[in-house]
Amino acid sequence: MSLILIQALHALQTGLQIFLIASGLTLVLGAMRVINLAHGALYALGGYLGLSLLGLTDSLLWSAALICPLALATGLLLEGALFRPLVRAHPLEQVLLTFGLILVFEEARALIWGNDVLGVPIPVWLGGGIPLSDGLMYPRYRLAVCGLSAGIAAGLFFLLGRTRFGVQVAAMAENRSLLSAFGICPQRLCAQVFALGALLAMLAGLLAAPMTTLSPHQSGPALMASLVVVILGGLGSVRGCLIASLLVGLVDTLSHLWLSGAAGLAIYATMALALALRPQGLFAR
Amino acid sequence: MMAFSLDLLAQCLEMSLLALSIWLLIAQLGLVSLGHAAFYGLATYSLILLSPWVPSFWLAFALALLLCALFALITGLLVLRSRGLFFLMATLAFAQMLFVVAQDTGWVGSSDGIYASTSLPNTPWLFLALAVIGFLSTWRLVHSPFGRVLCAVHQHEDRATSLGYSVLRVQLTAYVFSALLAGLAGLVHACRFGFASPSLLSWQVSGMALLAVLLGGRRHWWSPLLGAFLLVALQELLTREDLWGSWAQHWMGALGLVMVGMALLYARRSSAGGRPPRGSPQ
Repeated sequence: MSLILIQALHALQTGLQIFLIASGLTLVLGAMRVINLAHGALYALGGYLGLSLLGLTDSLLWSAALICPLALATGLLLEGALFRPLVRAHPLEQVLLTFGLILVFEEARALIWGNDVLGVPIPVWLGGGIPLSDGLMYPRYRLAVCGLSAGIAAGLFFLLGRTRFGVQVAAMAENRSLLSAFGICPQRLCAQVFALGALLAMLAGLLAAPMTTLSPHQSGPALMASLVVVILGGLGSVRGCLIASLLVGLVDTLSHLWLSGAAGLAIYATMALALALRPQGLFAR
Repeated sequence: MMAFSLDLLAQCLEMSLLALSIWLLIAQLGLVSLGHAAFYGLATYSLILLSPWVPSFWLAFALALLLCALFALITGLLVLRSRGLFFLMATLAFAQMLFVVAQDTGWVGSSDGIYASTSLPNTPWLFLALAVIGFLSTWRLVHSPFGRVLCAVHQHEDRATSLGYSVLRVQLTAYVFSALLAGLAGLVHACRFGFASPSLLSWQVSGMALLAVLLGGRRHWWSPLLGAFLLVALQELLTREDLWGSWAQHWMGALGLVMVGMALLYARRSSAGGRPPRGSPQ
């Protein structure tokens, strides 16, 4: 019984973790019609920046607080310098720019942080585990991250569903030129959406770092999981993105439990099935 | 020196075949695939794994291409249901699926890769012949009645449907043909190195081929050849230690900067209302 509880918690935590990364990708895709392949690199950057901030401040909470303005600045800078001209560009140009950006990020990471696998310490007050039954524990840090991710997800839903900003983002995804006819600057809104996406990805990277350690090739799997989620969830639908993320988290957890050898295959098989059944996305309107 | 320049030539030919396969989909159908590393790596792996078991090299060669076509047929049916950026994401995800399989499966060498147990013909003439076959057949395809149908499907899918063409069938045919070209590139790779590793299936390979297409342009059937030569030249330039010193080991970052710069240049030009590539919808 408690084994099922542990796996369920693990699936939920993985799913929410993927949601934090994928929601930024799907928001940018919906609002700007731009695919940001460097989104996984932003996630990795969040982890590495978090490590450096942790060295400076000695506290995970302070690092998380400090990474928010840094991430927003990174997002605004990237959007203004590189992504704005991409809005109406051919997909080929979008891929090349974001792919080039990944190469630049990777080399910069190798220069600054090196190529070794780096461990990030779990804060002492979140160390250890919570006993679920005799002999079975669930790590306290994972539980805390799970709760925090759920809080961030709820905040995101409030922001997009209940505020003026959210209505404007939805309107931009629907019809960009009509939005500017109403006197709302699409470029400015794009910059805000992109910065929000960067913030979510980098925060996810920071929160995941103590659980996964930092390694050179972590941006790839993060990007692939988000791509599968975006294909499952459909264009620009954040609700679909949440359901798809939880589904991918569940499939990933179960496949590691049951199919040790072919575990990596499971989420792609889910995607193939979804493409066969509903190519526009399982939860698209 | 002679051997070095011959190897460089072989590298150019291999890259030009891979670029050609992607060019065919972009220029003729407007579909940007980021998953052609799948066919490229699948062909390399198949030839290396099959050659000890099959009596003749050419039979293994044909079987490897057949496997590529089969994989393209199955994945094509799925990915061609989506369009634009979703097509791109779906092709990338399927290539990544093969990458994960190659990395986790013991009998194909997992992440260490696998060496060919028999010797494969590493002759530049063979590579030249394969490249000529690839380019000639593509030229023939593009300038055939079927090439006109491709153009029609690219320009207006609904109109092509109302003329009685099955859009999916036309696109699937082109997709499988393109996979065969990428497979040829993979076979050239297998013959050159006699070694396959999961990195052949990685999306860096597909990204490089896209860069070659962008460098060469999309207009002509020989553009991928030009792009591949430019890409290999750029690679050679950026990896020269006598020019860059110890910075040469970070050449991937420099290549990334070149990619970002080129993409920005093209994006600004196309948003400024430059000439659209031939056959693109008006």
